[in-house]
Amino acid sequence: MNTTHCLKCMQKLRAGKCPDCTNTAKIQDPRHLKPGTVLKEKYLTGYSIGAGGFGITYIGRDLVLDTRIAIKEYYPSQFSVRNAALSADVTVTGAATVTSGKWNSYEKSKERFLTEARILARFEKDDGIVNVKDFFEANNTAYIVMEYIDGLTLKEHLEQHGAFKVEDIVAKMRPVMESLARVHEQGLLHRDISPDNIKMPTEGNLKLLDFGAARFVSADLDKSITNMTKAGYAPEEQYRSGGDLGPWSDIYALCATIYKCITGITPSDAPQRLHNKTRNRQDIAVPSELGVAIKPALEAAILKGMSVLQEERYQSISELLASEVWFGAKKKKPDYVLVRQSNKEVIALNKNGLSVGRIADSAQSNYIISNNHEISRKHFVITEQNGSYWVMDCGSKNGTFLNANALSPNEPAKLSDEDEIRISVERFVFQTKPTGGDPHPITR
Amino acid sequence: MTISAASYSSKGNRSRNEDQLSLLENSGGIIAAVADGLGGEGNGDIASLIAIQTINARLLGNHTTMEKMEKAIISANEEIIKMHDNDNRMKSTVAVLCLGGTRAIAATVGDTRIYQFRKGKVIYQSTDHSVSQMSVSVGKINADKIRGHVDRHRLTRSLGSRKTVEADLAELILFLMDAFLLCSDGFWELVLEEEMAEDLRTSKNAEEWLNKMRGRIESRISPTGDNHSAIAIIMTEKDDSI
Repeated sequence: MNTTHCLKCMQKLRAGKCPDCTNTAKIQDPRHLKPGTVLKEKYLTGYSIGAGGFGITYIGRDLVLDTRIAIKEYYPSQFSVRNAALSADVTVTGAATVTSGKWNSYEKSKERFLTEARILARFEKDDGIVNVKDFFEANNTAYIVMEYIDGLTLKEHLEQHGAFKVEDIVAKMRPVMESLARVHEQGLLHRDISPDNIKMPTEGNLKLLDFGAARFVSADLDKSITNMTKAGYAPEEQYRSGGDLGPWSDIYALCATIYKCITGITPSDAPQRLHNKTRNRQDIAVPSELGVAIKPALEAAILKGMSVLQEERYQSISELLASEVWFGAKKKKPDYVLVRQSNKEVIALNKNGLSVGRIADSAQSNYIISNNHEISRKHFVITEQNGSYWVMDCGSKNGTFLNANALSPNEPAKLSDEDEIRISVERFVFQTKPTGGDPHPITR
Repeated sequence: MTISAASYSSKGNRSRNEDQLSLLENSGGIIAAVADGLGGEGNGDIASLIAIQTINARLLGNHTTMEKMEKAIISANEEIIKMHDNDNRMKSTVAVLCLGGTRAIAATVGDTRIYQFRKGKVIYQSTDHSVSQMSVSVGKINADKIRGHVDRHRLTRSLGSRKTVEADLAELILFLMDAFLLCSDGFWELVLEEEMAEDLRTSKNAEEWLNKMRGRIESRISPTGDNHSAIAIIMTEKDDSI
């Protein structure tokens, strides 16, 4: 029985009372986990803070790290049944239990839920998307543990404070766009971007939540349009069976979200816009005509991103970002180096990457440390992708440590300024190129 | 004007008939309406009835204009939504045709259709508000592939689905011997447009025309076939003085 934390806000109780919440009991939907349930022996779940067609989100507490978390439970409401007063286990009903091959549709989509969490967990350092900390199966369903973000969603902010200034919201969206671009590179789509899926934390960048919500249940389980599409934000291809979804689909939703943020008006839904367009009627009210102060080129870019026809939109976020109308001319990215701390050697990094170990790797630039047998022949590599650097342990015997955390073998981790990589007793700091003096020549 | 008109509504091979229709005289003209309650949403039969009754109440006794038609549809949407509760989100399509003088006003929401025939050809066909129609609009399929398409039953617009609704409105010019057909999707899915035109050509009046088409449907309908309803109208004389 939880006696330590308020189950509504997960703050520590003081003398059994919450300092912030009113102490009246809150009723939890009986289908949702009982507040106070502990998952995986370390995650305390509280009251649900959101529920959609595909999942329930609870506020929670990581009892080991003593931090607030959000826990997402896979729960497609049309096919799931539970009375949490009796059992935390979820029972699956009806059509979802029809088997096809190895798994039934429910199992397949639950597996997709977990696969996506697995990929998103790699974006731990990414500013623009919510961090995934853990994922696991329990109670005949699946869970994703994420950071808890205090603050309003864009939707709540719009309701309380009205429309944003154009320059303000576009600048705020930049980390979201850049993170989304990296997620797209991994073959994932969000599929449900809208003002209620983007949080504005009290500190820091906008964060995109709720990845892939609409994709977890396959089309044969759910014929309802309203569950698969969010009116005003879903592009036309998301309505059609066999519609060709891609990064352009997320771009539509993102630009429609920006449109809402600057006008305060939800765009007409895609079927309506398509209907009007085929009749040569204006399919969307132009922001400047609604009184929004906006540069014509930026307005055109936002409307391009939300063109009804997919071929008329930006096809990728990098294509969108390449246009200077959004954020001005691209600033030259700084050069990064590794500085070996034992002797202050500066090792240059470039697009070709770097391999560090006892022996040279002919395929890459190399930095050799030959006199330390705790260092493996090929210990770690640094690679570059779209201006970001990643470090990866190559299955070394004694491990590679990034800021004192052991890296999992063969799983890249993104590097940030001033990060420290340690192998055996050698420490390297990842930093911008120091001024003055050339880097140490690379040993081949 | 003088018209020949006929109508029918059948539950097909379903347990309930959720189609509704009405055909009323109004200010020297007529109001024809067909509504198809959405099955699976619960109480589709009530939704279609509310749609027809509300629209008739708003339009009867007045000369119909585009604006009045639009308002009548909006009212029908509101009345259906008033009936919603947690368990009941009833919805309906509707097709309304007001004939008077030298013009007609047609309004549709959903996939209940209105056709206008002249000299053996379709000269007006309303556009379905369905996902398969979207596939036609983006060029993925031809219009003749809508029948039997996987997304055919997924509607993008219906009465009762949102707080606001926008009907497709059209003002049509009337010629002598023009014919109109209002029909639910259970009807048009089983009869091709060429067959509608052929049956019109070989019929002396609206009743004969409708019976011929109905005969085709009855011979083709599957064991789980949908409700099917239609109103057939032929203008045998129009009023040039108006």
